[in-house]
Amino acid sequence: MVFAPQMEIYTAGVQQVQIDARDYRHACRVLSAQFPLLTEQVFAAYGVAINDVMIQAPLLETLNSGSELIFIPKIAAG
Amino acid sequence: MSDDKQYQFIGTRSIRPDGFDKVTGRANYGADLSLPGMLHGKILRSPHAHARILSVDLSEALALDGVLAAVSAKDLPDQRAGADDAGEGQVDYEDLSNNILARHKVLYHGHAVAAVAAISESIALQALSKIKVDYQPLTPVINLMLAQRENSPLLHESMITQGIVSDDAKPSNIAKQAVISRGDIDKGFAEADIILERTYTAPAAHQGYIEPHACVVNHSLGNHSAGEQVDVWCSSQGHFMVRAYTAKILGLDVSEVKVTPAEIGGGFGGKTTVYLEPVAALLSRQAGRPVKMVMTREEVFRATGPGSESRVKVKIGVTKAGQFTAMDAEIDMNAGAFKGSPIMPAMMCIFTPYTCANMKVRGQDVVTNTPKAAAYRAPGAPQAHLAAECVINELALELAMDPIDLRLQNAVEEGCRTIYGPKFQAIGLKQVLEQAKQHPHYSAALTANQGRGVAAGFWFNIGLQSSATIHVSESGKVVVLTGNPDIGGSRASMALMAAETLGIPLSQIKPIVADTESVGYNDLTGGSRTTFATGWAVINAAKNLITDLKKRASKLWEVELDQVDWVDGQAVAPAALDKQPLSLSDLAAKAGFTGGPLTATASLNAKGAGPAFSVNIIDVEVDVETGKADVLRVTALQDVGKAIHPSYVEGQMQGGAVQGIGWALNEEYIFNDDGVLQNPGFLDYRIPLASDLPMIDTVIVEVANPAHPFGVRGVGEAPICAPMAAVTTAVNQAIGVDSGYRLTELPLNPPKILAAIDSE
Repeated sequence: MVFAPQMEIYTAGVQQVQIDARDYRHACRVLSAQFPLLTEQVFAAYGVAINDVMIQAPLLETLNSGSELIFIPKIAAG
Repeated sequence: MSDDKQYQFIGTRSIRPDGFDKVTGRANYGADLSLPGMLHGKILRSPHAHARILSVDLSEALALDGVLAAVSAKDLPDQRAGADDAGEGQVDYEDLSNNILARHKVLYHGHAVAAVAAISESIALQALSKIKVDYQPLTPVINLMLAQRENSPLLHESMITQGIVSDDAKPSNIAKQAVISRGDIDKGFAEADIILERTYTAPAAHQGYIEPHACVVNHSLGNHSAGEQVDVWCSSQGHFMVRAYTAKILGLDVSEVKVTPAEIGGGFGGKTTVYLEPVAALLSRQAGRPVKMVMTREEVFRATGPGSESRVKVKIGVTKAGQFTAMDAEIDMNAGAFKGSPIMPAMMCIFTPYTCANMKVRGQDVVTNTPKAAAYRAPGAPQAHLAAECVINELALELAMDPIDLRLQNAVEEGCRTIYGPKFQAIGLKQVLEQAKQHPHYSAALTANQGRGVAAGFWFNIGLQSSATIHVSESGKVVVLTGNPDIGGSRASMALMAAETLGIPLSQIKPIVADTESVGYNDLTGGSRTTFATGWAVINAAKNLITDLKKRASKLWEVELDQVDWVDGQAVAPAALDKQPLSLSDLAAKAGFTGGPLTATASLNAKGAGPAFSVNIIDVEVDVETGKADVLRVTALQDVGKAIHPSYVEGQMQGGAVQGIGWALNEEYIFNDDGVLQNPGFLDYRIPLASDLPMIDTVIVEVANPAHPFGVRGVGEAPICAPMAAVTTAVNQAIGVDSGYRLTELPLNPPKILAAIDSE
């Protein structure tokens, strides 16, 4: 689990963690428990890359053992 | 250069379905619609760049004969501050509402304050002069540097910088700060043999769409419920976006707003938000009649969003062998009156073409008393690449190394990790660079006062939500409904993908851009997502249709479903069954007997967008007497994944190059000390004309995006990423730079070039 740079203000500077989670929602719950400032609203501001695939709406994405989930600011484009 | 897959329709240069209407003037744009009893709406705009609104009195305007409505921000519901999810990004509806009609303060010259609707445009204009607004003028802050000064006047007195943790944080004009990094930047610079640091600036630049913002809105009490009904006809980059924003600003449910898209006369990111539609709806609600609003060109310049002004400091370290060891940048971007410049994309793009182990990028989103910045093709990336790519060219000069070779040596490829996190899957930067190096343009001779620049660019591309519906008529004609405005030829690309999937001739397909009540939701046309994501929805809808067609054929033939295949546009069964193939027309004719009309839909939130890399080679010649730079030759190269319709892909590449060249040489917002824009028209704000430019050569490189059924990446953004740096390098070379680039502040207009020549 790798946090986007701006998320570090919610994680006391922690940039990445390893957690056990079966899917994105589960991961968010685990992260919120570990970093209470990481609320649903914070997560909503970010897309993710799971195993290097960019996903803007990850709610139902599953995670496997060894999955890498990276939070990425949502990209508004022209 | 292309992938190996052979297609029947994809990759062909079919006639665009909307072409005839557009070249004959029959196509309807935002300002073309008229309704019976329609009123004309006009907006009163602030004469101050920064002022408190003490009062707004509409009574005299309303008393004028022929005036049926007058509104101000008091007629809009309050919005909650903070970001809300809005498809491709997030939007702060309080800011959006305050930009549409100023509430407590005006934050730029031209900021909308009130609006009227009257039976004629002239009466509406007269009514504006009757509106009394009492202002308390404040000192304006009109550029990035002024906004960051210690005691600079504050635009938003309660705005605390996001992204920093501090117990004594004070209000500031800096809306956001962010840092992204990897490796050890100090160690990287310690390993370098050459370190170069430069600061490049680019002014705010307008997208320059020819069609001004325009809409017609009719408000009525709902026929089907107790609610309201707002019908909107307008030009935009996303009518579902217009629906969502208009409903939210007015406090309505989206079901109470229907938006019918007009054709769009250019957007380039500038039509990814709303300015007029909620105001027209307010006026129509008050007047009980339809209201048409059309911005003048001057209003477009004064009150709609340009691409952000930027200041980018780049420092790069490199070994004598040409290996980047450290890449460092500080980026400031001007958001205009409300937070939200494209600072994050700028930070994420700037060094992404390169593999350097040590990178650090700091960014600031800064507010000023200028129009709220809007998206402009690959928002933030061109300004960022301007600085990084120019420094790389200058390093190549110092290393006596070919600038493409320097890039190739450091270029990312599949498996490389980006500064923003994920690793690349299949990408084509190296292939694009190699094509550039082999291109005859790159080795063509230059003469005196001529220069050549090369630069690379990157854009992520995005997916997001799309829907498509396919109807098959009784005769077998196929109507493909999607919900994205056709900006760059998407009707043609949708038709091509449908034809390829269904195996039927293109002439059998009619692509339609449907209104918000006739097709499922679609995120807006932007981010180079439409051909990728909406095209994918079309492909899936076509596949769903094929599944249905096979079922019906199996019923007609009285055979098992698994014995039916779909080949070249018809259902076929194994030869042993002795069944005549059934075409789409055959099955359509029998649809009433096999389950009713043929229709299929699909929707998705597309993931796996494939990044795009572009390279430009640009030659210029400088007139040393006048300082004028003429563009002699341009070659634009890009990895597009798969060019569904090569002509429209080339058009995107050429258009992006033109806009980047304009930003580099001519275009800028010029404000006076009072924050009043001095050049709000195309005579003084000079975008390139056809006569200014040579024919732009294009090279399409196709490294398929593995996530997409046809390998599509998206093409609209990346073409504008490289030209500014390529032009800047070429001009510096043309005026005889031996070491050190002298011209670093865009635009490179004749006075600046002449001053640089004279300074020798």
